[in-house]
Amino acid sequence: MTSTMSETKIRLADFSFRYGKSEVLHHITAQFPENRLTAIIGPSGSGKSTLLSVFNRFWAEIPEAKVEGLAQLCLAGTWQNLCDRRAPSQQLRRKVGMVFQSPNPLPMSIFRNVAFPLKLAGVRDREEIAVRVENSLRRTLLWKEVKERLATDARSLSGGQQQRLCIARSLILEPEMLLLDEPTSALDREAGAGIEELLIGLKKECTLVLVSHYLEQVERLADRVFEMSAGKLRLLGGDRS
Amino acid sequence: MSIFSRIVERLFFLAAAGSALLTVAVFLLLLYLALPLFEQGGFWALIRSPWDPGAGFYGIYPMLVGSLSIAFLALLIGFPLSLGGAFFITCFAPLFLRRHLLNLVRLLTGVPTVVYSFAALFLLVPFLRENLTGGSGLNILGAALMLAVLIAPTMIIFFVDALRRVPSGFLQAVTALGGSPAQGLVYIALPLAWPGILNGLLLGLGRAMGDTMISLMIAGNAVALPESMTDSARTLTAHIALVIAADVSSLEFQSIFACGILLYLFTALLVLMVRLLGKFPKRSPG
Amino acid sequence: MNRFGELLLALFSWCCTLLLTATVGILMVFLLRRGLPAFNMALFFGDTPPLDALLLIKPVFDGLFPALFGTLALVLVAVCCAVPVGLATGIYLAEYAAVAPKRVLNLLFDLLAGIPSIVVGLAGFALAVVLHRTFSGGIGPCLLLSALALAFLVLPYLIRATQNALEAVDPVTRRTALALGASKVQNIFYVLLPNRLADLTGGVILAVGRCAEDTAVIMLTGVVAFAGVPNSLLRKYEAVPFYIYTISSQYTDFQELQRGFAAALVLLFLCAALFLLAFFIQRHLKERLFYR
Repeated sequence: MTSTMSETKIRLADFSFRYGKSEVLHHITAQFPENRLTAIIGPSGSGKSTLLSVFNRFWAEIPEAKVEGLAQLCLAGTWQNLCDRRAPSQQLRRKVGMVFQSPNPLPMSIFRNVAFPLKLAGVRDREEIAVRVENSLRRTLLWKEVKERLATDARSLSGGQQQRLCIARSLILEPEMLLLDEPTSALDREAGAGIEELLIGLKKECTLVLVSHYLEQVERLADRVFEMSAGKLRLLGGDRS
Repeated sequence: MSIFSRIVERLFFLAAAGSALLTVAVFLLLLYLALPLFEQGGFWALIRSPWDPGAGFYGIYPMLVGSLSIAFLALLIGFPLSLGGAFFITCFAPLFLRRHLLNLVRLLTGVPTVVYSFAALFLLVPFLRENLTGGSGLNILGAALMLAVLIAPTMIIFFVDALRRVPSGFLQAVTALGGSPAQGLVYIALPLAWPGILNGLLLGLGRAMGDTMISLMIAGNAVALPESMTDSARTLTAHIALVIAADVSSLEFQSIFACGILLYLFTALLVLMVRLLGKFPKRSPG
Repeated sequence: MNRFGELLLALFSWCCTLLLTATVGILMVFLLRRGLPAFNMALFFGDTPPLDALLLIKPVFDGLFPALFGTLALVLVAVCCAVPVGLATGIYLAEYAAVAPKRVLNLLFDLLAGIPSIVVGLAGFALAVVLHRTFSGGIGPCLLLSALALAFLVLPYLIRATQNALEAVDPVTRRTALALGASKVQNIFYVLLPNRLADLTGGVILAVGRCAEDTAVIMLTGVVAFAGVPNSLLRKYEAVPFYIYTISSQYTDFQELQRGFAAALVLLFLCAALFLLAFFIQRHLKERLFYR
C-alpha cells in the first residue's frame, strides 16, 4: 500500500461471526479506506451481507448472532467498537447509511420519504427540512425528475428512481459511510448505470462499501476489491486509488 | 436510548405482565371464594352429589352431566356437518362459490348467541314440542342442535385452514397422476391436516362447553340428573347465571365458584391439548 | 377409493353445506318476518317523543333506546380500556419478548382466550364481592365493572391481532427505518404499526362486536331489565342483548314479544355491520392513508 493511502475507516482483526452454532465469517482481518469505494464480491451465501450487517450493527438485532475479535469503525475521528451488542446503534446508523438490494421506499410521498430520517432524528424546522430534502435529491440526480411531484406516492416512481430516492434518503443525514447491498441487481441495465454514475460522484465525500456479484461493475467502480468465499475475506489485486 | 423510549418500553412490558397476571388472578380469585368448600373437604363431594336444597344438598353433579352431554351431543352433530362444509369449500364447491362461502362462514361466527337462542326458542322449541319430544320442548336435544349450528362456523374455518395448508404441490402431484380432487382430499390432504382438524374440534368443544345463552334459554334448566336426550337439563354455565340472579344463600352461592373453577380447568385442559397437538410430529400421508 | 365412494363423499359435503345454510337461513328469515313489522320509532322510544329521548329530556319506557345507549357506553368504555393494554401487550410479544417468556405468555393468552365468558363475568362479580368484603361499600355490580370484565374478555383477541399483524411485516420494511437511525420505539410507531393499521383496526372492530353481543358477562356484573339511560359508570344499566334475553323469559303480551324480535334484529344488524366494516377495512384500506 502506498503512502498516499488515505485514512482507514473500518478495521477488522481476527473477526469471526457466528449465527447460532454455525460460523459464518472466519477470522477476517481487513481494512476499508476512507472516502473510497471498496467492493466485496463473491457468490451468494458466502457471507457478504453478513459482513455489511456488522458495519451498521444490524447484527445486534439478531438474538442468535455472536461476534468475536476486533471490528472498529471510525466516526468523526473516534473509533467505535462494533462488537459490543449493547452499545447504542442509533447515532452510528445515522452516520452509516444502508441501501438495500431492492428499493424500499416507505408508503408515503416522495418528500416524506426523503425527510423521514430527519423526523426520526427530531429535526422540526420546516425550512431546514425543505432545503435538505432538495439538496439530497440533487445529489442523487433526482431533483429535476421529481420536483414537480414531491407529494405523490414514492412507489409510483420507476425502479431506478426508487433506488436513487432511497440513496437520497440515506444521504440526507450526511453519513460518513454508505453500505450498498447489491443496489443495482433488482434494476435494469440503464437504471443500474444511473446508480453507478451516482456512486462515482459520491465517493469523493463518503466512504462506500459495495457488495456485488458483477465483476465488471466492481472493476468499473472500486478502488479496492475483496473477495468473500465461504466466510473468508481475501484482498484481490492491488489498491487502485 | 432516550428516556421516552425507555418509558414506553417499560409500559409495553407492564401491559404484558399485567395481562398475564390477570389470567392467573382470575383463577386465584375463584379459588379464594370457593375456599370454604375446600376447607370442609366439600369440593369433590359437591361435584359428585345431586342438587337438592331442600335436603341440604348443593351438588353440581347434574350440571356437570348436563354440560358434558349437551356439549358432546353438539359436537357429535356439529363435527360431521362442519367437516362436510369444509370439504365442500375446499374441494367440491364450484370455484366461484368457494370464496363467498368462506366469507359467509366468517360472517356467521359473528352472529350473537343470544340472537340464535331467541330465534330457536320461538321456532325450534315449538317444533320439537309438537313433533318430536313432547313436554315443554326445552331439552338437551334442542340445545345441542343450536349449539352445533353455533360452533359449526368456527370449526369450518379451522378445518378449511388446515386443509388449505397442505402444500399444493402434493395435490398437483395427485392430479398429474390422474387422481380426482376427492382422492387428493382423502389420501393426501386429510392425513396431513388431521392435527389442524383435531385442533378445530377441541376449540369447538371449548365453545360448546363455555356457551351460556343457548343452554340457559333452550335446555330447560332442570336440576335433576338428565337421563335421555329429551330430558331438560341445566349446564354449569347456566347454573352460574341462574344462581346469581336468585337469592344468595351461602352454600348455594359457593357452588357457582366450583362451577367456575371446573369450567376454567376444562378450558385449560383443552388449551394444553391443543398445545401438545402442535408439538406432534407430522405424520407422512400413507 | 372408487367412483362410488367419491360420489358419496361429494353428496355428503353438499348435504352438510345445504343443511347448515338452510338452518341458519330459516332462523334468519323467521327473525326477519317476525321482527321487521315491529321496526318503528316506538320500538326505540316507546311513547316518548324521539327528540326528547335523544336529548335525554324525558325518560323512555318500553323502548330500546336506553338499552342501545347502555350498550354503546359499555362498548366504548370496554374498548377504551382493552385497546391500549392489548396493543402494548401485542407489541411486547412481537418485538421484545425473549423466547422463554414468550412461550409462557403465549400459553397464558391462549388460556385467556379460551375462558368462557360466563367465567369472566363470574370473576368480575367475584371482584365486586371481594372488594365489598374488604372495603365496606366498594363497588357493586355496575356499568364500569361490566366494561372492565368485557375488556378482559376481548383482551386476548386484541393481543393476538396486534402480535400477528406486527409479525407479518416483511423483513425489508422492518429494517428500513432502523437503517436510517430509528430507535426501536420509533420503528414501531412510525413504520410497523402504520404498515399494519388496516389489520389492527379490523381487530378492534371485531372486539367491539364481541363486546356488543356478549350477554353472559354483563348479566353477572350489573345489567338489569330496567334502569333508564345510564348517567354514571357506577350505576346499573340496560343493554340490548340482555333486553332480548329478558323478553324471552318474561314477556307478557304479543307486543312485547314483537319488540324482542325487533331487538334481536337490531343486534344482528349491528354485529353484521361491524363485521362487514372490519372485513372492508382489512381488504380495501391502503396503508398509505395512515402515513400522512
